[in-house]
Amino acid sequence: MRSFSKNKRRQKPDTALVALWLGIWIFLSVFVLYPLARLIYVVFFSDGGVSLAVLNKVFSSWYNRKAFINSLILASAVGISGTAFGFLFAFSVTRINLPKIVKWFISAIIVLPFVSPPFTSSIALTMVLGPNGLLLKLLHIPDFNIYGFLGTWIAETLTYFPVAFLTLTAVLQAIDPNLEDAAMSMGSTAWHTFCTVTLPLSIPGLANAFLLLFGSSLADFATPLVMAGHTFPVLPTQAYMQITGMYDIQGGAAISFVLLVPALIVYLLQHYWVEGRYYVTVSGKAGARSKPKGAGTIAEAVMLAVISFISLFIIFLYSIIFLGSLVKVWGVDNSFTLENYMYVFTVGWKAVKDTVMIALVSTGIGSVLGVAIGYLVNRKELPGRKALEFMSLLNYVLPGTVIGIAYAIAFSSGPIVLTGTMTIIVALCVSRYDATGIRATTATLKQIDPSLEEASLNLGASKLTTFRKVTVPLIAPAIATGTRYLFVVSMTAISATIFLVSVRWSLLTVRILECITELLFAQAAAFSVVLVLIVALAMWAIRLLFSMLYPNYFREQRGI
Amino acid sequence: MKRCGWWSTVVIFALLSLFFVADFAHAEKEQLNAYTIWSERYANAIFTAFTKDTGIKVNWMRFSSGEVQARLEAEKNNPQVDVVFGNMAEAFVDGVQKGLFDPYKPKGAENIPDAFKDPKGYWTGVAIDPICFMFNTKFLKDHDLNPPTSWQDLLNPTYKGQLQMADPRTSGTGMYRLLSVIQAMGEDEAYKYEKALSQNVQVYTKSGAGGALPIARGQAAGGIFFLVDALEMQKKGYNVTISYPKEGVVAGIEAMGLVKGAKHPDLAKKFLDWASTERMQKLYEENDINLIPSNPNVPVFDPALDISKIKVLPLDVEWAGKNRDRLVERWINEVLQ
Amino acid sequence: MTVPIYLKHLTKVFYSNGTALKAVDDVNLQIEAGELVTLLGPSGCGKTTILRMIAGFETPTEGQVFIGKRDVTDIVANKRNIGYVFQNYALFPHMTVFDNIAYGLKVRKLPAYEIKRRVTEALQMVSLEGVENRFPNQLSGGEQQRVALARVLVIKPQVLLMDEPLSNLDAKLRIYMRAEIRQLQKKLGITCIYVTHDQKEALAMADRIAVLNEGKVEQVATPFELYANPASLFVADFIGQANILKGKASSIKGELMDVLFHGVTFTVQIDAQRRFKFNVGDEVALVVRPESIKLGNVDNRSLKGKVVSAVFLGDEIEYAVEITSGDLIRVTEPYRKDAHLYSEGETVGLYLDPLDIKALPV
Repeated sequence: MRSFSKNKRRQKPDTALVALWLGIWIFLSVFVLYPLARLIYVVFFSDGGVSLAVLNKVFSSWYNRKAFINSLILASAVGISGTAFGFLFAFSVTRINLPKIVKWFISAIIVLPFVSPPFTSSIALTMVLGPNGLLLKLLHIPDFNIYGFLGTWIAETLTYFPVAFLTLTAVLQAIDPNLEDAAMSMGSTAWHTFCTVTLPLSIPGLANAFLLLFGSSLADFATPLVMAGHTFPVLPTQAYMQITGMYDIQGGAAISFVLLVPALIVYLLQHYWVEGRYYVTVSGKAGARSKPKGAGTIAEAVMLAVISFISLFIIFLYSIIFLGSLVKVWGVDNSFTLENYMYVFTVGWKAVKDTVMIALVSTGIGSVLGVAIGYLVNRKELPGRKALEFMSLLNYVLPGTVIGIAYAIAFSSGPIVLTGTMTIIVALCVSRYDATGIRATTATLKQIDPSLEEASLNLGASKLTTFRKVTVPLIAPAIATGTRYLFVVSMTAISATIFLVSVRWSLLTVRILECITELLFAQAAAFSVVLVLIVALAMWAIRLLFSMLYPNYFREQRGI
Repeated sequence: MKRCGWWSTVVIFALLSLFFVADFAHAEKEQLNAYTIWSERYANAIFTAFTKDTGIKVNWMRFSSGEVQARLEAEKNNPQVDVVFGNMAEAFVDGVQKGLFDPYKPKGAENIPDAFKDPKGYWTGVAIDPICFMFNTKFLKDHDLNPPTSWQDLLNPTYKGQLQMADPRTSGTGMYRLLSVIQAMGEDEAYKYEKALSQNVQVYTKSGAGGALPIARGQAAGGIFFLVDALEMQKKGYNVTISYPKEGVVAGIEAMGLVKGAKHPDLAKKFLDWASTERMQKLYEENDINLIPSNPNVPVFDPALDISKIKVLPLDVEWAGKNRDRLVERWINEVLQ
Repeated sequence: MTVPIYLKHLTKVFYSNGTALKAVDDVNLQIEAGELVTLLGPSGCGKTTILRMIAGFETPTEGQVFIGKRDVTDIVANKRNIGYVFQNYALFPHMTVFDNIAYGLKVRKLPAYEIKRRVTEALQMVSLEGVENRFPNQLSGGEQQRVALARVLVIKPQVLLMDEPLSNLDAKLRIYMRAEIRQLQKKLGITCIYVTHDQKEALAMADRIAVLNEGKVEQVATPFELYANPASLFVADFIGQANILKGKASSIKGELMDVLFHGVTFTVQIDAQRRFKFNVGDEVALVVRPESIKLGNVDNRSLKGKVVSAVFLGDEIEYAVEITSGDLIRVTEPYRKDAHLYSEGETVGLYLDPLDIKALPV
């Protein structure tokens, strides 16, 4: 027996890789761990020791307790209504033969909330159902108050149900129609089959969608700020008010910390409980598939009527935004004008410029970093991979208000001072919104056999060449997804960035919010339209860029 | 291969550091940075005139009174701005307590009466602005009402869900409404009144002028504003009526001051000097800025700005500043409940 | 230029969750220039790990790899000039067939015309022409296999490593391709290591076979030698079919040994190379191939048994016979027109030719 102690070899990772690895660790430590640590320090350390005094103070205010309960009520309500809407739409798309025009409506309303600033539906809703709103006037309802729970609930449901739709579409598509065939062949009616087979099989998907929406609503800052009014306080806006109104950063930090607890519970539930419970997984095998079954004629007719109504209402809301940007004073003086756009391009021009700049830099840095993290975590045996992966997703999982306040605290004093720089906003966008790119890269890399990369090495290509010529082209669709998402969200984010805008770097979304708080809806609408146009242009440009860089990108996407 | 990896790492790091250096270098340019609570148009007129007179460029941002204060506090160790222009005097008092300002008595401030400036020079008043009622004339006519002339008039059930006014948590206007009521009827009575009034409030707006446009457009019946915002609506041609309660109102002092640890103190002092001159306060009239100059030597021609006929209640700015947090806290607990 | 491969004390330990797993255990192997050696063994025996260490995808925990006279143990994979054909072919899905094959040449910065010439040549070599502009997923399994082969041959590697290259093909194509690969290898005279778990494939292709079990080399020999003289019970059992009867050595006289098995004494020849040492009283395993047993009437030279199953396979008849010891013996008899067919339940005598019996230590 030869002893293993002598001549023992260890694979030595090359120095460039180690440097990159260290760089990523430093980046994530500084921009993920450090701010959270400072936040926790501010909340739990006062008067020179560990104390619950600050949290106590937060909870001793009945208004904050009410905000906490309201947040949970609102999140549950949005979760339920959004999931219901999402299921209705997903079922209609996957199981019913829809008229073309309805399909077109649906694809439009699914995309719109993703590319528009977060309070678009709130603005439109106020214009339509707010005081003296369009619909109220038409229907002669004089005494209706949209501000409060109702308005927030409607606006958030309309904003977030597409998330449920996407989740549930995937789940419903994965349910083999043969199962439904089997039930039908045993004499079950379409409606009975729906109740006994399709619906039970979708339960894990429904739970997942509910949790997703619950988390989104819990963290939503923009909608309640516009819609909730003073009668319905929720935690994210309360944290913001505490800081901006009461000059109380410690209190704001404590409120945001309270928000952190349910957010983490939701994430863990979703991650460890729901994800393990899918009955069906996508096999990717294209076997003989039966035609999709509906839910019975009557049920289908009802569904169709409901989704048509909702779709029309949403499209109506978004058209209002566009129309509203072209009139002098909405509802009072409806004469056509381009004044509002003039306003955007003069007074608001700096915000437009700054936002595009920040989004471009964030997207550039973020897509490189996202690929690097995804690749290193999945392909290289480096220490602390799991921890790194978790850290890279942490800022994404936590509510924006928490992250924003943590950044504001961490980088205004101490060893790293970044207040008022572009760096702080870029760092936030990258560390928070890179998660989608990293996840997409990870998912794609898991599908790519490492032997492809080994084959390239074997044929004489260096590691770098292999990465460039084999790995990157193969994960190009994932990179494109991540890049698009990063750009869009950098343009539309507000919940975290509102704490970081400065004299030198302002953001479009913050300008829109200002317009709304001054009730300058026409200008807010014009800003929104410009933002959506920029985002659409960028999406098109990114698509073009990737199709030029990787001509086989679209071929791969179609999975020929 | 290794060399290749090294080079690309080096290039990436070099580009990144270049970007950061550029980002920070940008910060060090010799420009004046300012926060203001004045509306876009007003602030723009003043700062543009300053740049025209002195050649000094100004980066400025507009926030509500509370936000300005919160930002100054957050940035205490690394101030982002050099001056605050137009914030309420009572906010400066609060800020001085928190160590956010440095004293500086601008040249030219001698002509501003002592009531409108801090004896130590922490803040200097540039304008006076009373609280007033503003109502949609058409609404009053439709409901056969006269413009309100007493605080009690606002409790009329006809106004249920029809009033918009500012939230004292974020807005100086809201705070001054509260102070007016306190000065007019005493603190405890004032909170009872606000509680009763909240029945008629449609929404408490985040910023002071927030409710003005909806009222002008008829989305709401009326509200309580600073005169400056009410006049703005009137001058834009909206049909609104301005009136005052006979019990009296408080007039806000809009002031300016030097931020502690300002990165460009010289530019800041230049600005404060400039803004204390009669020339600056004359800009109000020229630019339709509906504020009453703090300098009595600046002539006022607009009759709407003549406040000699209304009852202006005295306000102890020191007291207001020091009790602000308590008053807001009490408002949340007693009015929003 | 064709070169030998030498593996010296090659060892690989994988660590996972704190436990060490010795995947490859002190393997010493010399492969001559131009030879095709098959690494054969059940899954998990370490054969692919050995191949990956030679290619440079894994670093040995201990030991060295020599290609020719060069110690390549510490040389990175892309500098070894070794051809490696993967089980799943590992064709780049985003490149055309031409680009796949040209990949190694482009890396070597060859001029375009040279690349074109050599790719065409390589495609001819694997009898696959006119598919240059197709993508891998537009090809059949067999065509993909050929592209994978062309892609490594085009870089003129010193050594060719193949990891179960035919396992994804259907049975008929597999037989066809193995002949073709063997022919090509002989024509090019390239040293080749071929990993498989299919013994027929190994027997059909290899100059020599190395049988691996649990990371260790059990035996290296020509196919014939391996079948005729297995060096261990594992090899005997793994290569072809074998009946193993456990008896006791009753006497040893020179090269001959008497082994008593259930009342019948078999006199067997001790291994000619004297690899094994037996003592009287030792337990001895007798290895008998099914085809070297004859069935007949029962007498005192035969083992008595009862036919449990009889399967007619066309070219041969396969019997399972339960003998008195309770062991189940497999017997195959070639088809003859006049052969007697035994039926299930029939009692038969089994005749074992002592020359066909291998004695192995247990």
